[in-house]
Amino acid sequence: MRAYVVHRLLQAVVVCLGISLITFALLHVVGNPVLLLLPQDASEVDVALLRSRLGLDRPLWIQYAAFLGDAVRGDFGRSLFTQESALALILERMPATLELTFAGMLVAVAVAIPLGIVAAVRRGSVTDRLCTVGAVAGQAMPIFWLGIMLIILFAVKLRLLPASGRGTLGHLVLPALTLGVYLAPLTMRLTRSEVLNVLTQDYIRTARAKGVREAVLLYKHALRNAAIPIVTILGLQFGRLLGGAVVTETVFAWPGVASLAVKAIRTYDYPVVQGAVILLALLIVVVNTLTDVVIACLDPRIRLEGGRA
Amino acid sequence: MGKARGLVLLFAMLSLLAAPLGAEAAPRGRVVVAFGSDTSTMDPHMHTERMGIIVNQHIFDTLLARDTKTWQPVPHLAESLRAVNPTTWELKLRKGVRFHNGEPFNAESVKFSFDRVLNPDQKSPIRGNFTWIRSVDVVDEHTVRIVTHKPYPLIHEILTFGNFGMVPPKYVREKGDAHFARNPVGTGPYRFKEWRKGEQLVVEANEQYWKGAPAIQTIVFRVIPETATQIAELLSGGVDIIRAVPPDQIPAIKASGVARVTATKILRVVFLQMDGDGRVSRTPLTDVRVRRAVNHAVNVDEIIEKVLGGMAVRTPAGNNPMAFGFDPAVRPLAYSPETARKLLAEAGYPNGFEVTLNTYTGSIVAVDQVAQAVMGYLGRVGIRVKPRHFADVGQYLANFRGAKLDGITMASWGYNSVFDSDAIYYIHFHTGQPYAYNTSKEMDAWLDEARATVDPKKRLELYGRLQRHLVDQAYWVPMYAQYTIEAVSNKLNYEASSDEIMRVFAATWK
Amino acid sequence: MPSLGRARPLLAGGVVVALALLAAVGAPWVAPHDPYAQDVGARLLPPVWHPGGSWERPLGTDALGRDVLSRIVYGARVSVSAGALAVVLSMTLGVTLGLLAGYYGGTIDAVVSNLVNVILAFPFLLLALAAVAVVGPSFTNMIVVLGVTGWPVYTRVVRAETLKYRQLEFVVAARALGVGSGRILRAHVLPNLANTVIVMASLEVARMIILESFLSFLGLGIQPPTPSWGGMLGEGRVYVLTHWWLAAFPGLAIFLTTLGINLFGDGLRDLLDPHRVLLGAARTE
Repeated sequence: MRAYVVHRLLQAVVVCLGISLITFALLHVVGNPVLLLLPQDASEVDVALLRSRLGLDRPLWIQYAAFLGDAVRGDFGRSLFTQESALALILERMPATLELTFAGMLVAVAVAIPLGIVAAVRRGSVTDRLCTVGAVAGQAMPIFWLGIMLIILFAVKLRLLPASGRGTLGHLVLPALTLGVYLAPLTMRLTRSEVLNVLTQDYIRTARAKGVREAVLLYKHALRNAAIPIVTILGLQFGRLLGGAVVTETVFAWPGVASLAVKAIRTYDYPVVQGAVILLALLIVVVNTLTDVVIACLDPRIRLEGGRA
Repeated sequence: MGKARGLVLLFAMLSLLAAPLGAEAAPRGRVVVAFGSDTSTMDPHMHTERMGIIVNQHIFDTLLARDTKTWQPVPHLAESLRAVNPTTWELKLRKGVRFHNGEPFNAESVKFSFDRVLNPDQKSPIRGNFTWIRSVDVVDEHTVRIVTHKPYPLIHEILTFGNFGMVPPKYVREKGDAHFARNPVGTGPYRFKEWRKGEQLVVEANEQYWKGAPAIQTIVFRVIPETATQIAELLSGGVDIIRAVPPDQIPAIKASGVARVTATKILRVVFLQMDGDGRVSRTPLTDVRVRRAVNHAVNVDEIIEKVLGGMAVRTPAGNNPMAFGFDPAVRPLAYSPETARKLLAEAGYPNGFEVTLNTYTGSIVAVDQVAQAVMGYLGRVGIRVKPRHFADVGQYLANFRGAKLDGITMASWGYNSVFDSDAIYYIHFHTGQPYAYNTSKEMDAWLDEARATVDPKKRLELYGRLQRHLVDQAYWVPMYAQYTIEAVSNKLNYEASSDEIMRVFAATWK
Repeated sequence: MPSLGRARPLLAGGVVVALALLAAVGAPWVAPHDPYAQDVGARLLPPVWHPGGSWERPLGTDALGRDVLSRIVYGARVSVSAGALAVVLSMTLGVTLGLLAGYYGGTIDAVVSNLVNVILAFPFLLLALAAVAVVGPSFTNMIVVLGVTGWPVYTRVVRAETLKYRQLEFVVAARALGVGSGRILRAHVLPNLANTVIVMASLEVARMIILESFLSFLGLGIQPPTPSWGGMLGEGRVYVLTHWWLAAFPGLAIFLTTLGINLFGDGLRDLLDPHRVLLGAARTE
């Protein structure tokens, strides 16, 4: 067990290094932030001075090493526009993003898992068909469109909920719903296929042949065994969730890290982009690693295999 | 000019002395204003962002302000501005004004504010607007003298400059710039309360304000990037004032029964700039016949009428009619695709040519539609457009300054809120200026002379000559001056301003 | 053998996909007007069944008086080909890397697997946004960005399958007979993977079309005046309350096409039943 955890942590470190390298390369090989920072009447001397002040005149690998050294200590540099610590800016926005993603996940789980189970149990029924069609339709829906529709319906027409912003629980409902709809279809379909998978296993058939009641069969045996792959799936979905948050936060003026990153990308505020992308990626890595470790604790087969690719 | 203005100011000052700002009753209620983007800092000297200027105007006061009917400079923290000699101006300051932290406002605060902006180490992005100053000297507690290098005609304009709020010296020195940027203290009608970045900024009424307490207790400036969301918020009552309303949405807002539209002419003008000097690359646009053809090809009146719903003012030579020096006698080149085709054939392009059209997001109303309309008109006379779009103003300006915008650029200019021809023509047509893609010796001479004389007649004549020259040489396709289109809840008395400063501090409850 | 009932979604999906392809290929013949021809005198006309609408402009006109139907037809060309090309690129990359990693194992496998984990740990949309912002928004750049960020889905599945095939008797036998690696991969492993990959790719096209619309929404997609569904939907979103058809029709086009592709892909999977396809898709975006 310890070996597996160590292996998984090492893997996580490698992933983090890779993420930092790609992000850094993307932002530094192309693009010139210096011109954006100087006043209109700046001379060539000013440009060169600023370049050297920002350390942009050093060889790229030295810049990367310096960046990495600082990043490990939690220093992502200062925002080029507000001069504030990029880390502070990001952390300030992190609770909003966590709140939104958590709520979105909750909505997805609350909708998708029961529906997935029902669809699997009543395989081939009208309910199953409806669920599948609904899921496919949900997957085909651009969520920013859904978000705007929800705002018009619930805020403008019905006046039941606030249209945007963060504050009360009411503010959370529409964005969470939007993000939930983004996440639910795939979760539902995966749940359905996992439960189906378990239901067709030999031991279930044997139990059924022995006359064990269907309800007991489902709750005691099938769901318990399907739980592991479902938890895995939820962990894996976390990355997708953050992707959906980019769009959701923009539509609902939700003050999270994703919208901060989008704005920083537009204004080429590379310390903030680097920090936000790396911290969000780190979050995904942590969630995935935790999921894997938790599952390995539950399921001895996995740790013997040495993890997935 | 300067002396005439001084007299006007003196009279205006007398009439304004007793005018209270808002209602007599204690401030009450909460108004929410939506912005499309957040501001980077609350330090008025350290940015040039429109949203930042608007919020700053609630917290800080400038030395002069604008009359909201004539848009001329009038006394504010400075009670008078008098020319002692052509290069020395004397400011008399209002007495008994205090900053929100109790620090007194006096000559020392004024000198500190000027010196702070002028200090090269401060790296203030508005420094360029103040380099005409040689020194600022304290005469006594409430008197300051400004000495200029040369006679400077625009001093009244610059002292109304939205970024140039008076800052408290002791507070800034003790707490440092970083703290000040997030915890601003000024003399204005509202005191800063809270700022959650990217989310909202809250200010509370300053009941001790020297012009009398404002009518609204709390103003919340919220960041809502999506226009569709902003409109939804307005119609559902979550937000009271929005800006940059798309012209096509005006009927929906008018019909809502919840809010109304308030629109007014502003300084910002839109024009197509052509690289006539071949500063970036030699294109057919270096030929004056081709530039004239481009002018004849674009139906500006139709864009104004159809795409902008009539909410724009045609500018014959790119200059705003509200700016000093505007020449009403100048006529633009008429819309005539046939003339355009003929000129292109004469210039050796009977089958047209291909050219870049640079556009950017920000400031220009309905920018995508106007840009695409322009592409359509140019296409009809055979000019094939390669669009190049900048999603970010910063990138766009960097390319503009860096001589990287080839071909045609759909540009706009807000005059830095200075109602004077110098504020648009110098930076776009004087040799060596970062925005100049069309230059000549004669234009340099006119611009230099107009900048160094305080005689309004002489300046009018020089700018008239320049505007006729611009149309003749077709350096730009002058298009129109914009409106600011805002929408406001029916609960409020509030009007949009021509200097694009949203005066929520002057709003009252119905 | 599948019954007709099971094949129904496949058929329905197939019809929708065929229609979209027809529109894309035959745009110049299908579209009633030039999608770029603007007439600001006839802007924001409603669809034919509304008062003020006409058969001349069946789905109305946009803010520049361009025909919405014609732009949707041409938009099919842009959106479908963007989705398809991005998938071809990501599939080629992903399958190649997956085959190499699964077949050779060792260092190659370690490098590829870690790279997969790195890409999968990125918030996909942010990575794509940052990349587009850096290289500038254009049709080619968008395809490259979507392609280069979308490959790990295939690699994961192909690697796992290849690992399995490597142990199988016919592959082991071929190797024992001294058949070259390249030939084994091409002749034995790849054909066995084809089903899985085709199903995945068909589902990925739908995802790419949606992603294009996300990028357009955030202002970094295919740039105007080129009609793309995502771009049109993005332009139309401000008009939801006043001129709903501007966003509704391109939205419907995206919805129906991706729905069709998903049904088609699902139908294919039901026929071929590779359980892993879904699992592979779980970790992206």
